[in-house]
Amino acid sequence: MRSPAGAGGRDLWALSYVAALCVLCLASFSLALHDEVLPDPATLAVILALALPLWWIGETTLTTGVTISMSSVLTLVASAAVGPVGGGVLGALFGLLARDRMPVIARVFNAALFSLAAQVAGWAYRFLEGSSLPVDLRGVGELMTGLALPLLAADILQALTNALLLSGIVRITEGVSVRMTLSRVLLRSGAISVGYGVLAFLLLVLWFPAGVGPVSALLILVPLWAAHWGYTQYDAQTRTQEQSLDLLVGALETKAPDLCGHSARVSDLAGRAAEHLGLSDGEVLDVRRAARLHDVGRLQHASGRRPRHAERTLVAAELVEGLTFLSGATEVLRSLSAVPGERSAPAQLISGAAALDRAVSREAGAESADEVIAGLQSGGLVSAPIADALLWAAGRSAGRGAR
Amino acid sequence: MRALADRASLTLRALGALLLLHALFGGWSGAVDAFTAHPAITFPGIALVAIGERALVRMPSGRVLAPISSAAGMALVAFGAVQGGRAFDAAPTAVVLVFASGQIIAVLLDRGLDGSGGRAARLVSIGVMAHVVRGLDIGGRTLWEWQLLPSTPRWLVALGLVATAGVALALERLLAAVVRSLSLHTSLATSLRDEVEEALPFTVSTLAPAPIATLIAPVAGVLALPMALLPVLINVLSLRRYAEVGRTFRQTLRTLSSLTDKAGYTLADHAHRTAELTRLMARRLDLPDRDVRELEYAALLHDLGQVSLEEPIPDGATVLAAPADQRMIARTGADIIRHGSDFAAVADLVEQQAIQHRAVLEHEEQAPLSARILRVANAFDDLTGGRSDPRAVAAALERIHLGLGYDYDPEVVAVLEAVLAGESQAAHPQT
Repeated sequence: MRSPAGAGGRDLWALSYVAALCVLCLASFSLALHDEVLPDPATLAVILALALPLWWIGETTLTTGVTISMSSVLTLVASAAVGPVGGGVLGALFGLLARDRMPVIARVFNAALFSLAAQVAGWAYRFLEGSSLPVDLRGVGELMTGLALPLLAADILQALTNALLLSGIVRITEGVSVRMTLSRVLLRSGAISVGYGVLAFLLLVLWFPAGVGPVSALLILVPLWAAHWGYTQYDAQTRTQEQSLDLLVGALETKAPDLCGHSARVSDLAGRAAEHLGLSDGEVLDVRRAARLHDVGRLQHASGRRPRHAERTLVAAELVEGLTFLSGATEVLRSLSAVPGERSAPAQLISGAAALDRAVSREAGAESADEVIAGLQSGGLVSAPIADALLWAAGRSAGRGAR
Repeated sequence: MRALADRASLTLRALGALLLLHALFGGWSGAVDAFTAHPAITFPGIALVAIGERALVRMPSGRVLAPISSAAGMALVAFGAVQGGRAFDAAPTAVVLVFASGQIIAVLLDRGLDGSGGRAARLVSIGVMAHVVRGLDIGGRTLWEWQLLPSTPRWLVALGLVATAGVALALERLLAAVVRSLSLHTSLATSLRDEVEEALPFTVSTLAPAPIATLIAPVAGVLALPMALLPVLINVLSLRRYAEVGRTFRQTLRTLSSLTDKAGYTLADHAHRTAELTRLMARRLDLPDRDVRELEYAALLHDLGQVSLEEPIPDGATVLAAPADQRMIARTGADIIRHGSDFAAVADLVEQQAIQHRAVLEHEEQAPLSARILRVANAFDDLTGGRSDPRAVAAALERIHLGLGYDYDPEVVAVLEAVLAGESQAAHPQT
């Protein structure tokens, strides 16, 4: 269970971090005003008007943790066309007026984050002598040196700034290392960031050198909306696919009511332990899925005979082995059916979590988590790092339960 | 009906061929001029069309889209002034030939023609667009010539090109919908509605490249064409992910449905056969794609409730069980399926398929058409045991007829017979 002092300390640090970001934001604005890097009011007004439909559509967070944000394209455009002040104002507005419900502090953090990232992009664009309001650019050469390359650099720096600042707050609130969060965020959203840069480039070329004006936004935002739709459909379908695993578990619990809730608890415990152990996102997902499915082998036996553990997990692996999206989980299930000394780390996590859950369910308070884990470790069923991870995860679960 | 669908597809392809021949014989010199005077546009254009024709996207419904090819074709039609070069002043027939060249390369690489007529539909729509934009006289000039005038506002050019591309795309989807409605035995209205529901966002996004390419070519030169296709490429990537996860999801449901087979409750592939039969019957009854999909999922999962049985029913044939037991098994199956919140509608169908038809008539119980289809299809496969020989089919139909009006909806049974007759004719065509 977390101590009140610990939680309070984290909140204080988080508040300080957000405050520091806000100060940085304002400092950047002051610098821009001092250097007279002022946005063209008419262009800024049009960009702000275009922001309205994007605000209405909002962002899409996929199950993989990637956020598809059309506002990022417009923020990049603003950073280039109306400088760091314009980009910063737009970023702040998107952060403050996000449609999702969230605490005020989170909203302020988002505003500061998006604003700073946009301002960094704007400064980078200026530093690389990107052309503001690039009406007169002609030919591939001028477009590259005056627009494309500075914009690409601005895009990359915007993404990096966003990832870095996000890693900081995650370090403070969740205790996850900056390097891990940074690599996760960049791996997930790096390619999409480049896509934003391409679209921002097209929008700027259409708007200024080609002379189409604000109508350009319609030409770029419609395909972007279509991609957004495609990703939301993909995300919805992926969620439904995950739910189909719940059907398997549901069938199991119908046949064996004594297992009600067991798979979900083991999945949660093993998943947390896997995250604490530092396994990759893909490995954590495989652990969670395999944990949910580890007992479905019991469905195979209509006779009521209770199969042994190894037989059960092997049957479970065979039941799902044709499904490509479960290939990782299938490997874990097979490893679960191996002799204890030969099981992989993910398999050890699941067998340890299952043993813990069974001990807790059998008789509350009969054995502590420490005793169960110690028993598993001395029996060679789990290694020391796995035991530590399971204990940590069990402690978190107990803490959440106590609240 | 299948013959009619084949004829429609052939007619479409014949139309495409005629258009191509017209372009060849009527516009050969214009085409040669286009290739020699604008190699930096025509050859990349051909390459982009060929790539687009091979980068097809197969939607979960089976519908095939080629957004990159359509977008490249429309961009070629609209392409005007080019920075550092001469305006792309090709005749409409020349543009058709450039587009068709890309398609022919794709056909050669695929080593075969696409049977659905999709390529022909795209060629016809590009041909129509080319003749409208570059051939139709409006106020003394063609649309293409109007967009070259400096006095024409660029935003007006953008909107005009979007509108023209919209007409071309609508024609392409209409032609595809006609062939699809004939092959699936649905009405044209249903087929068009399904097109809109499944493909509209991506169809709409294909309207953008033509105006983008045309408007940035005067500043970016020939690079405008590939640049303008980048938004479509982003869409194709997202669309492919969606289509792929749709296929994986179907695979998952098929695995779930085989659970009762492997556990010894049901005959092998019973759920798959039932699902296939419900799909054919649903199409005959003109159900939209979404309902057909839901029904297919319900058919795959309808026997899941049997896992709760201590003693399996012989061959898993629920049709032989007492009505009360049928409802119990269906209810248990529905409860299992409701563990997935997105499966609520499927769970309802599984539960409702156990309702006898007389209960609907006499006690006003709710059993939607999909549930009645599933009930009949399941009964048929239970009674035949998966056999397709005429004797087994006749015996099953006889048994179903004995329960007509009591157990089974007569209208649905008539559709079953029509589907079986159609399948029989396809297997043994009359000479």
